Amino acid sequence: MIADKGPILEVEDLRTQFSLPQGTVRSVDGASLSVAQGETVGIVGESGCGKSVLLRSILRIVPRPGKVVDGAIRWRRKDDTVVDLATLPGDGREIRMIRGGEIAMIFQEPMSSLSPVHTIGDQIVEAIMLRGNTTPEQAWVRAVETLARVAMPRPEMIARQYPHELSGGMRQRAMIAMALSCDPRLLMADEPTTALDVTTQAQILALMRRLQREAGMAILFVTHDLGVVAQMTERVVVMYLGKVVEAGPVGDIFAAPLHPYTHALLHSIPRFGLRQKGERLAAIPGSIPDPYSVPRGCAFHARCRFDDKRRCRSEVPALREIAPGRMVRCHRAEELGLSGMSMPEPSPALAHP
Amino acid sequence: MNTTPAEPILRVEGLCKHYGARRSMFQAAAAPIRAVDGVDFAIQPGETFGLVGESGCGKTTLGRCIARALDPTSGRILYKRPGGADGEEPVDLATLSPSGMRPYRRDLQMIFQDPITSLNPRMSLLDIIGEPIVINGIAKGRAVRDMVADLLEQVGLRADHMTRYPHAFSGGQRQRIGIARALGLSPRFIVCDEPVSALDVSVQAQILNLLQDLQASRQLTYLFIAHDLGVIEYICDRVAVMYVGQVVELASNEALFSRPLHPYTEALMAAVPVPDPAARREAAVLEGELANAANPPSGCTFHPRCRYRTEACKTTRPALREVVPGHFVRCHRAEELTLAGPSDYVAREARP
Ligand SMILES: Nc1ncnc2c1ncn2[C@@H]1O[C@H](COP(=O)(O)OP(=O)(O)O)[C@@H](O)[C@H]1O
Ligand SMILES: Nc1ncnc2c1ncn2[C@@H]1O[C@H](COP(=O)(O)OP(=O)(O)O)[C@@H](O)[C@H]1O
Ligand SMILES: [Mg+2]
Ligand SMILES: [Mg+2]
Repeated sequence: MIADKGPILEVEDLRTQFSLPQGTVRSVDGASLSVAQGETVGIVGESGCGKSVLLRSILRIVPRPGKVVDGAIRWRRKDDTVVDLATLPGDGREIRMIRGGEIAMIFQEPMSSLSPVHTIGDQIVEAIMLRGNTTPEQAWVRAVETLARVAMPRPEMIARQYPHELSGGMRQRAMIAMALSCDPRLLMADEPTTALDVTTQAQILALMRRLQREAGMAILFVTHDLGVVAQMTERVVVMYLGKVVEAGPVGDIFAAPLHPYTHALLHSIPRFGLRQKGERLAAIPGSIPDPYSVPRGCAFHARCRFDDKRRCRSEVPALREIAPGRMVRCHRAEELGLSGMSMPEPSPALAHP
Repeated sequence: MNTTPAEPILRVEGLCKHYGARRSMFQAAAAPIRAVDGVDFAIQPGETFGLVGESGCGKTTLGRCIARALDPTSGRILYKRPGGADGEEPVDLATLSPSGMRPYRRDLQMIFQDPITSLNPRMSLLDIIGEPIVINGIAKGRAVRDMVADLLEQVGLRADHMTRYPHAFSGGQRQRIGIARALGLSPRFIVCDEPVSALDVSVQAQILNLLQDLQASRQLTYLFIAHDLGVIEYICDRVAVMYVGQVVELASNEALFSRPLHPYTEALMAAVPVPDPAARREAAVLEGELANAANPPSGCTFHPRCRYRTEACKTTRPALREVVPGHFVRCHRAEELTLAGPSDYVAREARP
């Protein structure tokens, strides 16, 4: 359900770099995207393509020596004023207020945001108290309520436990509870289910969908799992080597990808029925290039089936809107006519008793 | 695929591995962790036999017992000797001493999920891949180099990479190095423990295709462990589904994925996010977590999470039964339930 209110987050031509003795890593290299209120946007791409650094740039928590060097991160606050997070001092009061209260982030490994020496309840209380205006007693009640909201069994008991006493799935719920305790309007999730079993993943995804419905927050969901993208998101942003190479509505991207990289990613997933048809997986040749030696021209050309050996190798393609809402960074996008996943249609008898 | 029942290359019978089962004189023994708790199956030569289940269900332990990287607590691992005549008694690997195991070590190799931790960072590829070749007296000196060069090319790397160290390679390339090392001894049987779980889909596809090509060119048999049902469905001929140390369902790929017979298998399949936005669904989510292997539930170990449980399921442990020829299931209600498989989610043919 795309709200008609316009974006709450607009990232434009963002560049984040790490200057290291070996050279400069352009982790985010001119990325643009937007998120509307209440919308779920997925970011996909192979590991190393800059997804995590992009999310961290938005919150201004890029680890040293990483730096946001260029671009804008326009965030619309509750009162409809717009701030550019890229220009705020990285440890100033304003960005800290936004970090604690308006934009929350969850990670693949919950232990990276949970303290091992404090109980789950105390950590949520601390997050709530940071925003002021509550007594510790009220905050504790809210913490337990929040744990109940993420369907934690026996929330009063869990509140008194330490992270290491919980299973991976329960820790992930605790981290989500902590993120939600401040009623964020945007939740950024960095591979939140990658380390979990499919069964636990399904639980967490169902939880996130329910919370989104209830709270109406937007979600920026980073994952490398295209199944998760298909099930969870409304729009998709595909990244390769720090750049957005394609963006559009999820249905369009799966049905008719425009960028050869998106096409190749889609066709490399083992999906049910492939084997019975005797088809082989279409792997993408090679691997993501070394960040110090990004190819000239289109950074994907060396792995691309459609490399024209001329323009693709000499000229960096621009991100262009070639149909309403459909952005692509490929010289040949219009002529390729790439096929989607041609999934068999779902059976109507899908709903389970 | 094997339709005619050939003699299995490997048969496990009543295999158990209980951790912490030993009691000391001074300490009351804690309940052992029944990581593998009475597993039976047979693997045919040349097939890819899949093992799937949530983490902690005992897949790695089972794989390592079979490769004898772990000593099983009890049970038999009957292995058909290389070059053994038809009808010859298989050897029981479970009872062999380390020296008795020696002739079979070459035959049974393992590849791992995490090629980074399984490769010594201070060894060049020549040493990593050449070491088992030298130790087993297969070749020495110049001949080792030639073999390593050949192996590197077979797994899609360049021979001149042999002087480099593992850190210079990407995750997918490291997995290729691990495969080259396993191949050096010309094994017949490879335990692949989540070989593609840590890789990006693009690279995962490369490795799956490589494993298939090697299987065809070298007549390999794989025990293929994975938690990704998509990968399992793509690569395996037959599949065993494990839950808390036991096989709960075993069938051919086609039978399992068209009509699962165990509620756990159904739940696993329903949990897989389908890569099709048009097939969006609020799947019936399997609640709860894998039971504790040190103190498994009474009756059917899956009953606390099972939506189809009855009173009998809480008290009586079901046996693994052959319900349809070749299709085994450990569920009291297998005949009466009609469960959904992936073909019910994505049933009709593709749109043109
Ligand atoms: N702390 C850091 N120091 C140096 N380089 C980094 C750091 N963090 C990330 N990078 C580099 O930035 C690029 C993008 O990384 P990342 O955002 O983590 O990718 P993804 O999340 O898509 O896997 C990679 O080349 C990575 O090596
Ligand atoms: N070395 C060990 N000592 C004690 N318990 C172990 C050991 N290795 C595994 N386990 C336990 O055995 C069970 C099965 O583990 P494992 O074989 O690794 O499962 P999987 O590979 O399916 O994730 C788990 O409960 C795990 O905690
Ligand atoms: Mg990342
Ligand atoms: Mg394992």
